[in-house]
Amino acid sequence: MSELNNTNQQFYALPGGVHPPENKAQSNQQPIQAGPIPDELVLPLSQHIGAPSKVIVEIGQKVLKGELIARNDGFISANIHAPTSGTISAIEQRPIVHPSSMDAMCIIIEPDHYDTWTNRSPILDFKTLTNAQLVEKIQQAGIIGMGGAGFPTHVKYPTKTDNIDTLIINATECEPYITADDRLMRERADGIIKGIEICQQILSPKQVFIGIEDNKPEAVKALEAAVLKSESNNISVRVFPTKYPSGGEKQLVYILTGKEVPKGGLPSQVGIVCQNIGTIYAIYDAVMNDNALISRVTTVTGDAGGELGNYEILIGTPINALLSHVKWNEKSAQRVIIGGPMMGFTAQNLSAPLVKNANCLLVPKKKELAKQNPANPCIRCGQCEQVCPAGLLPQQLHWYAKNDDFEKAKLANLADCIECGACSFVCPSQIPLVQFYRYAKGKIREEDRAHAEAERAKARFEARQARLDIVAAEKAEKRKIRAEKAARSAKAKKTGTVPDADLIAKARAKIEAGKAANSSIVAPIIDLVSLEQTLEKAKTKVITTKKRIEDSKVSAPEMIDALEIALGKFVDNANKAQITFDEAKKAGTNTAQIVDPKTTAITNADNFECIESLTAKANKAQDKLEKAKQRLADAKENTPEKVEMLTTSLEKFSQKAIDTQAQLKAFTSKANSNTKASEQVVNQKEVEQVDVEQLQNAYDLAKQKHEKALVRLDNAKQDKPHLVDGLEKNVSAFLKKSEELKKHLDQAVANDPQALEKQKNVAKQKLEKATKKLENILQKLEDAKANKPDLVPAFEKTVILMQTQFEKAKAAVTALENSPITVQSELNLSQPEMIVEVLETVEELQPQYDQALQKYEKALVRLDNAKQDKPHLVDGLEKNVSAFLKKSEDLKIKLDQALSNDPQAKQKQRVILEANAQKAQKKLDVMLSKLEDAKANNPDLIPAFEKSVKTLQTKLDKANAQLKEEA
Amino acid sequence: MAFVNITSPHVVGHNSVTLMMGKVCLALVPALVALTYFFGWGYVINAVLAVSAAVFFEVIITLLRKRPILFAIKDLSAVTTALLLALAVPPFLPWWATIIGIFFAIVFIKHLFGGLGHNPFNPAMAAYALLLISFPLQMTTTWSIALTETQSLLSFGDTLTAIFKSSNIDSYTGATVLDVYKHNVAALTQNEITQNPIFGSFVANGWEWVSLMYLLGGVFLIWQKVITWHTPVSVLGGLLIMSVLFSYDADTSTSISLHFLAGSTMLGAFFIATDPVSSATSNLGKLYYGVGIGVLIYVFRTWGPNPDGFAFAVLLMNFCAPFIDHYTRPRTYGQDKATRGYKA
Repeated sequence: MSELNNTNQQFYALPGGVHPPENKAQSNQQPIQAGPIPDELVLPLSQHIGAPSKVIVEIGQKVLKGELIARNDGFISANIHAPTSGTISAIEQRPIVHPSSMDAMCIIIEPDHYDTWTNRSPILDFKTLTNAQLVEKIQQAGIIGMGGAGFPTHVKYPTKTDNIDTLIINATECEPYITADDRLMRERADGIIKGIEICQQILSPKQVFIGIEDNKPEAVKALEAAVLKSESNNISVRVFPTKYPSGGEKQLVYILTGKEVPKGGLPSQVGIVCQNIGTIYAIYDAVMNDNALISRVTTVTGDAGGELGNYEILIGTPINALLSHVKWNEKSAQRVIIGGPMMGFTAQNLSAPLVKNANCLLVPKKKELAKQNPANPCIRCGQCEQVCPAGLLPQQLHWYAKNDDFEKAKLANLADCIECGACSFVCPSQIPLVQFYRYAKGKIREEDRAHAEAERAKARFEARQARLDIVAAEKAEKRKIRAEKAARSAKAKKTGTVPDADLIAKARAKIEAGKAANSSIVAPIIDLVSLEQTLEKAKTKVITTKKRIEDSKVSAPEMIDALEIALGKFVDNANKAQITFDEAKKAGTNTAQIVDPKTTAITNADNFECIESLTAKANKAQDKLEKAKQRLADAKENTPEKVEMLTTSLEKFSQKAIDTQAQLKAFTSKANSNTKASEQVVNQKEVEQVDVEQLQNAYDLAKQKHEKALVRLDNAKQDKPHLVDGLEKNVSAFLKKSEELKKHLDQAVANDPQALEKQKNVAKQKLEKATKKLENILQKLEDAKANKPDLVPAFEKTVILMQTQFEKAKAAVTALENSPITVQSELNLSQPEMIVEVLETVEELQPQYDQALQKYEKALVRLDNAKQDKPHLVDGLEKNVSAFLKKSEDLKIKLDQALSNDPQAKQKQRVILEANAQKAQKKLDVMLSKLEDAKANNPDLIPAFEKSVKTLQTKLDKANAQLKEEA
Repeated sequence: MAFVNITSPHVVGHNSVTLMMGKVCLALVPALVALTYFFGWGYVINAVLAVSAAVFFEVIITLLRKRPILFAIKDLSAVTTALLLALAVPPFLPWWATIIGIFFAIVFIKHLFGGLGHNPFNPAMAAYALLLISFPLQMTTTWSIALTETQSLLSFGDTLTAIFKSSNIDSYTGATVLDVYKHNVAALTQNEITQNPIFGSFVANGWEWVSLMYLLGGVFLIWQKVITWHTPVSVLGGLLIMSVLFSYDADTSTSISLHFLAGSTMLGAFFIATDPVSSATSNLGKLYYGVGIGVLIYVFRTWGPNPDGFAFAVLLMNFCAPFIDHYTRPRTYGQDKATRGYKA
């Protein structure tokens, strides 16, 4: 690859490269002309690589030509000077020359066209200045690399210059069309050589190469002549064959020295400083003439460019100002390219200014440059590879960029691409390869930035976390010290005095005790019972859960964890219940001393209840025990591995059974003693004071229990003969108790003038409760039918139970009502009130009547259903129906009465009916919307909703009909 | 702004895929003339048939893929593939075999993999391999016997009948020189084998001229920068190394001259192995790739069941091309050492 040409002109051949048509003759025939002074100059603050300059002028301020208007901001930055005299008219965002046609901050100068210079101090001999002074002058003049990238020039001149052995002056101008440097060299060669001498003084290199292509013989001649005149003897003009892109800095370094600039590095790393010829001239101008960089030579070329040639333009001249100055042919222009045809970019906005590194304006006609044809697919022909001056594999890079495979693109050294466009130039498929590389580079930059950002955020987060950890540790340390201190002082105080906590606990206990004493005396006992039930329930749960755990160990090991958690909860609950129960028990014993006869009676009843529940438990335990035994026997035969487990549970059960029996015994003896006490009380003839209502309740309860016990006994007779004895005892005890209570009650009734009334009230209340319960349970049954068919039998059983209860309650009420005293008292007391009430309450009666009617209807429906499905319910339901009918009829009569008595009744009724109708309408609407929802979301609910809608519809119709009727 | 916005470079050369493919086709013409002169009209008929079929299938598949048809045909890639296959198969191959081969090459190998530039294998060689495996009889018994003073050639009309109606032309067909040599070398010496008239007076009657025509075309392509020297030189180099190592004695194995001047060596080295799409891409990669093909040709010819093995050698190396690419990246400007492999 490296071939040293050993002729007069030494050079190393550039690998790759292409030979595009040169097209230089159009613009290099005329001398450099002065550019226009446009109506306004636009000076972007960022014409160079590095930080944007800082504005040091104000709007409206007058400036002179060459006056500093923006100062460099940091080392890698550049000064900007006023290119002509005038007024700062604005400092604002303006479109700038950039491939993306973006806006940037610019200083706008309105020239006064006097072009008045600021004070300058030209020098005659730069050798009088020190290196630092020279670099200072370069920096002051705002000189940047004028060939391309625009790197601030002073940065290239370090104060310590030992390691620079070669200064390369880039006079290649390898891009087609551009002739600015060519003309500059032809006309100002002496200045250029002077500039080289200045740089030589600063850098003191061993050799200076002026690299130039062989297509600029006039320039070569001019330079050689100037070199001969120069005092310096180590400047040599190196001419080499024309080939694009020899003018790339890295390429030129190789061509002239055979050295390569390291990947990602700078030429100075191999002892080389490379400087564009235009920059060299600017250095000369700045140092010798004290002219800041305020103008440059720019080529205007292309077939639509008008008066082609090179113009020394003021920096900041808008593109269209220059183009109109050269009388361009706007109509035939295809595009305006800033820079050359190989690496220049299309101008998007012609009002954008030409800046310090704008070397060419190319205005081709429509057919001058090939229009972009649709690209063929890449056939990997490798022609691009043969011309790539960087030694890349463009076809592979294209493939990676196209597929967004940026990792591979990086591996293939995408970053080394100089975007010269040689690959695109030769591509037979006419793929815009460079565009792909720019895209991939941009993406990689973006990713790298995001990555760096993420890294920074991570570091920040970690630092913060560490800080927080330290703070937390410090706090914990402090807390520990404080706690130790407190403990020490507490120890010191603890010399006989009772700790505070104990005092508080005692006070609390006292308060609790007081509360218990003050509260109803019945409550604790009832509480006790319910508490015990809770406790038992909790215990059972614990046991069942334990059992389940055992089971699941065998069958479902994955459930064990969940079950163990549940077990923990249950044990907690059980413990709590135990504690509460114990406390309540204590409180109960405390209050036991203040028992009066009626409470004793009730207590007895409750004791009986306890006994009963205990008996039941005992029976259950016995039952379980039996079952467990049987299971054990089975297991011994079939599943020996379960025997052990079953044996333990059997032991548990037997233990439990024994416990329960013992409890039962204890309780029975207690109950017996209580009963005796109550008998005594009864004998003391203090029964008058016993509350009839309470007695009634107690009696009813006792009776119920008796009945229950009887049922159980019957069941036991069939299934569990071993329990019969115990149960029989129970039954007789309950019977006895209920008889006892009956006696008390009768007595109380006889003694109390209002007893009957009260009794009746109680009975009525019961009836209501029973009705409600029955309705509830029926409702639930309906629900169950709809949703949980497996619960239906259970509910049906309950319904039957409730019905019997209801019947009984009703019978009781009728019995009481039928008794002559009742009738009398009712007549005496209730009737007048009732009349008044009736007179006043049409509003109340109407809804009641409506309700009753509704219930009647529901009952009828249910009856019909039952006739089809459950014949055994029919009887009960028929009775229901008749009861509801009767009730509604009663209410109707009452309502009518109320209506006849009340002059405004009709109106009131109407209002109510209207309200009803409205309500029904509303409900229907709601239900309809729900139905819609269901259609959209839960198709399985649609039938249920449809049914509801239908019912509501009938209701609404009825309400409307009623309303009409009344009207 | 009324101006078009185009990114650099704004000038492009006058190269095009059509031009490249056209040059390849042009470079094949001398060889086609030589083949016709020595082996009859079969090659011309096959070429016309294959090209027509290729264009036809290209149109159909482009239509199905909803791509611009003219754009696809204009690049001449289908024509090139068809020509290469037509020159590689025997001249009296039944017409349907040629059609099947072209169909497989254009539709399966090229377009089903994504069209031009995306085929992992050389379409012509894939088709050749398919035909050789599927129709071994037709592919081995329809070679024409070269023109000599005693052996005349089949007329144009008779060739047409032979191709389209499979008429009996036994007196005009025979085994290839490579085949004859391979099957006789165990029993006979070089002198004895070359007594067979098909070997002619110099190497292999007719084949040597055809190979030289291919070489001529290949040099033209290198001169025109359609291909680089790397692949053909390395293919021939690989074959040379193997034949020098194993065929130094022409009495025990196929002679070196036959390896180079008979069979499809030159066609393969200059026209098939250089197919850019399916070959390795860097200059160094092309060297490895070519040497691989050269070595494999020898291996298949000598130790394989078929007298020639170019198609299989190329296809096998097509498999290796992406791998080779990863390990043969060139050193870029400024790098001390090239980045090779899958990790930086």
